[in-house]
Amino acid sequence: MGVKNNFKLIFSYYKLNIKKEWKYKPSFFMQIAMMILNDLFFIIQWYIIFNLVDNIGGYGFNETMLLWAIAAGGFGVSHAFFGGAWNIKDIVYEGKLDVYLTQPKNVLLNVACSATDVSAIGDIFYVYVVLFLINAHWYWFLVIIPVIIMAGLIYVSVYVTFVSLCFYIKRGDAVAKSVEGTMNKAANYPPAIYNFVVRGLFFTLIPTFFYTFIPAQYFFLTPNVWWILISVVVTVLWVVLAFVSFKMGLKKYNSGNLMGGRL
Amino acid sequence: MNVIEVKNLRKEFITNKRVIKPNGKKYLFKRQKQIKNAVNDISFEVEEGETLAFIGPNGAGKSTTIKMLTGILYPTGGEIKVLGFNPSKERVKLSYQIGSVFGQKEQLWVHLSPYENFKFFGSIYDIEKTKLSERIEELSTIFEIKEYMHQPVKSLSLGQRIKCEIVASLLHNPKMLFFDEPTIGLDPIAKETLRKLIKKINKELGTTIFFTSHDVGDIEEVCKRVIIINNGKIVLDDSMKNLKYHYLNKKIVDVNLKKNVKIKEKDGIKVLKAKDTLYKIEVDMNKTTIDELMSLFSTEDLQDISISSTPLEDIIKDIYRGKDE
Repeated sequence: MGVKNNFKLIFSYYKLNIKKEWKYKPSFFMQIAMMILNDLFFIIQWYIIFNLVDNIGGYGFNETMLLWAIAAGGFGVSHAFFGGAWNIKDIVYEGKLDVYLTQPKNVLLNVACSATDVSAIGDIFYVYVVLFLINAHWYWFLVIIPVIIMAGLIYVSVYVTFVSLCFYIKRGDAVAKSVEGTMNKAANYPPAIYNFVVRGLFFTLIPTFFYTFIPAQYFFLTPNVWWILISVVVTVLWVVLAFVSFKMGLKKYNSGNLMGGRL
Repeated sequence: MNVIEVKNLRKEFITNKRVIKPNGKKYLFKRQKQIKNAVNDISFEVEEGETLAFIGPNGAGKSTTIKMLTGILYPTGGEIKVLGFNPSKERVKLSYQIGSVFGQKEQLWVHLSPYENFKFFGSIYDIEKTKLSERIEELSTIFEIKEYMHQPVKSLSLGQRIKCEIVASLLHNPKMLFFDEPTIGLDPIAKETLRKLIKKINKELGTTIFFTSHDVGDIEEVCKRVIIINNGKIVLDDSMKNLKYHYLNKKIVDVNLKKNVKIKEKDGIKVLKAKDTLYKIEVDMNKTTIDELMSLFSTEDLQDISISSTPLEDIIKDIYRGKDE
């Protein structure tokens, strides 16, 4: 299946998911607004913290806000376009993968695109709110687009890689959830606050630094072509790893006979 | 031409069970591997245009077989070719050529209308816009769903929903359709309509039908060939005509006599039930005749008599139980 077909599938699903959510307009707008409001509270929290300390690991308020914006954007892209990835556990355990397996599309892409978390659209809007707030350069508003797409791809790929354990063990999603939690929590801080071992972990097995710090530092603050290239390569590697892990897991899929429909 | 070729197909499910200590408690980590042979060395072929019923009791291995044929499950051993493709290795290519309707699993999004769903399935199967519109028009006429095609799926009755599920699986014009208990939960009228439509798909579109159901009526009306599977093995593979001919040799005779008499059982004649002057007698036509039965009582005592064939359902139940002789 070609790249063009994959993009077509992603956008067909996105259109369908938005159409589904659009049927309940008040809820649609409420979810987006509530997410923006929720994110805005964190700005207040960071503002209070930076009134108490000058910097955290060498990062001031604006730099930390940039990390936070990329994290929110990455989260937003992953949940808005690939929200179905967070249903993998239920889909595998309840034998609901059958429908996807009978369709002529890549199963992981098909599953991942099958759901949209509307509130995640709020996260994407929030990225621009933060950029305005920190008085960002005009070109940051453009560069942020590929950055949050890459962050989103890393975020969903890490989750899929670990949640593929569901094919082998019961509650395999618990590992994925822990990794996701760690990524989220660590995403707002620069590497300077961590020791050598934790830094190593966050550059490799739980690639938090490629999710937020590397793009913030080397796409925006001190642009560096090599780090940009490394980021692209790491993103591609994680995407490939997610597809391979999922495909290997599929061989262990046992299906099931639970009754159910698609919502 | 064969559209399905299955040779020595096997599927094992492995589970790990905690080992029980002599004191009745379970070990914390010690596990024992348990292997269940869901499908155990089965072979069969299906020709193009056939309507095949693949039936068996719960847990017999029919759904597992269907899932291996459609590329959902990987087989443990054996060979499968469906329309020339190996389902586990060429799943995507095969998916363009087959359709599947699982009565227990819906593929339509319930908040959207069938029409919106069909449009989406068009993009899943890479169908051109104009061709898709023509196909929706054609199928919605055949299946008579136009009236409710623009209502949300969640507001449709089960029968209407299943019709739309079938339309969705026919949009890409598949050469084969797999039905896994499509009539489950339907009322008799909806079942009848669906059976007629499935026959129509087979006759008018030439689509090969692979059908599983627990409803004997479905099988009797829709299918010309039956494969019965039990405990993962094929116990019968025959045409519906032969099945009826060979297994419907037993007649059930209900007799009402004027007085109570003792009917002696003999080879081929078995009294199933006797209450007052009413008798239910099974006559094996291969061993005896109705005349022979009539000689066991005086015709002057006869008040009423009716002769019927053993219901196909009972025959299938007997085959499931292994009493096919």
